[in-house]
Amino acid sequence: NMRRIIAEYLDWSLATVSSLSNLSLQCIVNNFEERPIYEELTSSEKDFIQNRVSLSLPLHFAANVFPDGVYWKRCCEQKWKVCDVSNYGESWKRMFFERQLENIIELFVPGITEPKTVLDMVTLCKDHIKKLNIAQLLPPVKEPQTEDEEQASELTLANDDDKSGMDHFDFRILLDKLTNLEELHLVYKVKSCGMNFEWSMFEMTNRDCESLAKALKSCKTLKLFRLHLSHLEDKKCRLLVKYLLDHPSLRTLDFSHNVIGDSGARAIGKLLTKSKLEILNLYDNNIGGPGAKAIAHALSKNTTLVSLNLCLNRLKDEGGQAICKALLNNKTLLHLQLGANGVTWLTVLSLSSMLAQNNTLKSINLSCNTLGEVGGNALEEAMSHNTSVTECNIHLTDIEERRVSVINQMVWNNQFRKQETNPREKNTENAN
Amino acid sequence: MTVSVEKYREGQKDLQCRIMSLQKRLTTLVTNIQTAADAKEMERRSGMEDNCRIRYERLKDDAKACQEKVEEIRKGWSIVNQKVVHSELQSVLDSQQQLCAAVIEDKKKLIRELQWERRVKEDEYLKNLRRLDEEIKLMLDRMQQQFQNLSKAYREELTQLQVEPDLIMMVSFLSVNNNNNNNDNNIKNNNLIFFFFSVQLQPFLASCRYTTAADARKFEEMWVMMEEEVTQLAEKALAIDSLICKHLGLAWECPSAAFMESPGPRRSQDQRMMDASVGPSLERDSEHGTGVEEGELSSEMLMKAMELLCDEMGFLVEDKLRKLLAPMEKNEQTTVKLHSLFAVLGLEEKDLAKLAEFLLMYKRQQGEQTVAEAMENSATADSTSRLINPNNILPALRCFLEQHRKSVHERSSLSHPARDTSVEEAYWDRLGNIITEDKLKLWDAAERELKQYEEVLMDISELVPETELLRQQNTKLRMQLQQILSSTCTYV
Repeated sequence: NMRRIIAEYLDWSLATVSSLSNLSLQCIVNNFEERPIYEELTSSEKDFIQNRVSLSLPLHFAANVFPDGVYWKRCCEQKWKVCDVSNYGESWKRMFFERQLENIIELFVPGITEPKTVLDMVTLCKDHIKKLNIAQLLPPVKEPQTEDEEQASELTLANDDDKSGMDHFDFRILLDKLTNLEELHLVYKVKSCGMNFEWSMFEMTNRDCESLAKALKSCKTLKLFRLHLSHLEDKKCRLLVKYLLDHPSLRTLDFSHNVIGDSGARAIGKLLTKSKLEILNLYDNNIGGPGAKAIAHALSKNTTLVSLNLCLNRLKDEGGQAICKALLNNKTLLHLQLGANGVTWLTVLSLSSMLAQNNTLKSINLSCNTLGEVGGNALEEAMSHNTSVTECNIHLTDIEERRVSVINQMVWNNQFRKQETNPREKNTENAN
Repeated sequence: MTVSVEKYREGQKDLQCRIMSLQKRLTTLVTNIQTAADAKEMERRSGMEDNCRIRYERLKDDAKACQEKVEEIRKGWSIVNQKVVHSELQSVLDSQQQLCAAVIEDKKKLIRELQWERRVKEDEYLKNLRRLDEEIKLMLDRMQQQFQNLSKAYREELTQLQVEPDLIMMVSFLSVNNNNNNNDNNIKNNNLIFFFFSVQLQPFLASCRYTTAADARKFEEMWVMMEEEVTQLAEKALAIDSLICKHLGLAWECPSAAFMESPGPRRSQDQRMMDASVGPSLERDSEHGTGVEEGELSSEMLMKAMELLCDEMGFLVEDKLRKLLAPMEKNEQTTVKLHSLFAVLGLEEKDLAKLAEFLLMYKRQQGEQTVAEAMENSATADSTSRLINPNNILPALRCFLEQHRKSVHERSSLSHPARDTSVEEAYWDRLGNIITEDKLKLWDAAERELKQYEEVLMDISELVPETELLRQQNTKLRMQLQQILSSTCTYV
């Protein structure tokens, strides 16, 4: 009967009094820092608390009390505009701490920032860091030189010793403490440097390389290492590889967009024989025939590598043929990318003879090489006998249209036939 | 049957094929952009190599030429040192100066050329950046299109998959019927189609009925609540009215019961009436007929009828259910099948008896010969012959469902008839004006009178203690007087 009074009593308030449990939960929220009552609550009560507690709680406190949940979602959304939790294994807590740490490292100025800031964060969150994607590494601040000093430095030849004053963040203090780290993406560059551009902002020093290599060795859970766009040349590549040999867990190595040459490629060939690498990406480097030969030699004895990307190097036919010959004995490689390497129909001939025997290779990329009619013919011949290749990229290879469509049709038939026997296999092309 | 199912499977394969080729084509569009970028990069690299080579050559040449000139100048210095005559010294120095100037001029030219090259490179760099930006936009566009096209295709595939069970049933049973005699074919097909649609529409009809029923209930509840409140107030008012009248000595008549009659819903009564009306329409036929006892349904007959129903309508039972039931006994199978059938057709347990009777009666509606047959067999009292011909179960069930639906509809519609709103308005008006204007005036007058009366009474009540006091004093004084009188009497 009380409901009927609402219309007649003009100063009746519609707000109902909250239940006692809600009031007590609100009280807990208001005094959470002094008296954190959390573990004893039911899960819906815990959600209530996580939804309302202040976001300015000290981080070490919150990290210990709240497991992954709404609290961390709120933290992330408050700090960053774009939050896609699927990139972080559906864990908001992970996203928060990983991005925090990335931020700290990206803004670390060697010589000015205290390493303590990094270490403090690490102690809070070392169990939650699985992937680090660091998009910037700052060099130390250069003291403004007097005019005399400037003139002097212009006239002398820059040598390596001088550059040691430009060491970046030392990863040795970090990587051995991150006991769950599986992926590390690094790039030595300075975002938005504008008119203050200097080449040294976009490359490592020798000491950087050595400390990084030692740090990588100390991280025993690392599965993926990517160092791109950092002007990595032969000398530093060899140094890094030296410390990566026999790494227990490394499975993916990505050195794309660097300036690795034949000497570095030889080191990488050695790495292939002394590790369990599954994916190797050397896209956009400077590897030539001799380097490719070293890698091919390793490939012929390798049983773990699944995907090899050598696009946009200088392999030419010397290198291309070496790789194809090596695959005669290789039964594990599934994806091979040799696009934009200056290979011609000679390589295609090697490839054809290889395909006649090899029935594990699934995808081939020969785009952007001038294969011509002879190459197209050989490829068509090879594909007519092959049943395992389901992807073949021959875009921009100077083969005439009709032949291209014939080859594509044969590849499509292979793919379709496979789909029948293995329904709904995910179509993962190893694109960059 | 195998032919049509195979055709369906092929259709599925076609769709899958289409989706795969769509995926491939769209992905290729996107990766082609990258390949084009690779090609440009290769061009740039080869261009850069050429430029480097050319520049290197030029610098080398220039260095050589410069070296020669410097040699000349050096030789000149030794000549200068030999000269002593002022004019010769002057001329030699002049020529030295010229040579130096020439060297510097060469260098400056070189610097200008290199600077011009640098400017060209800067422009190229800007152009390159713009081109890359456009390529990225193009890539994003194509990726977006890919998402849209693929999701459309997937959605189509999904809808196809959802329709699959019905299609297969339809196809398989139409083809089953093709094997039977063609006479009943069309009728059977129509009945089958009817059942399929009724199966599909079942949930929709159920939700419609549910919402209308919910609305009706709400309306009734509100009405009842309002009515209660109003009648309470009315009775209160009438009670007060009667009191006042009594007070004023007027005759008070209670308004008639018709006054308070509510045209609102009286649920319990109506429903019972409706049930009664529907039942007889089905059972009316049982009145006619021969002397054979028809109203009674032995449980045996019921079972037999239900078994027949299950067998004929078995196709409406899910495959999985049938497989699960296979190991059970025939009786149990029948009961479970019946349950699922009824769920599918939207019937309830209580309709079971009606359905059974209807099936039996259906035969009668077919024609004369059936009646004759029944008469013949009545003597033998062979119960099974009374059962409906299996081939007629489908149309019989269809008729029953139609009637059943109509009756349910009527029932629900009768509970809220085309509401006579004018009657209801009159009712509420009546109750609102249960105390008329005249009575109100009377009440006002009575109020005034009674107020005055109250004043008087209040005055009296105030004076009462005074009078009491005076009376007491009076008695006291009288007593005293008596005493004095009695005392004086003794003295006299």
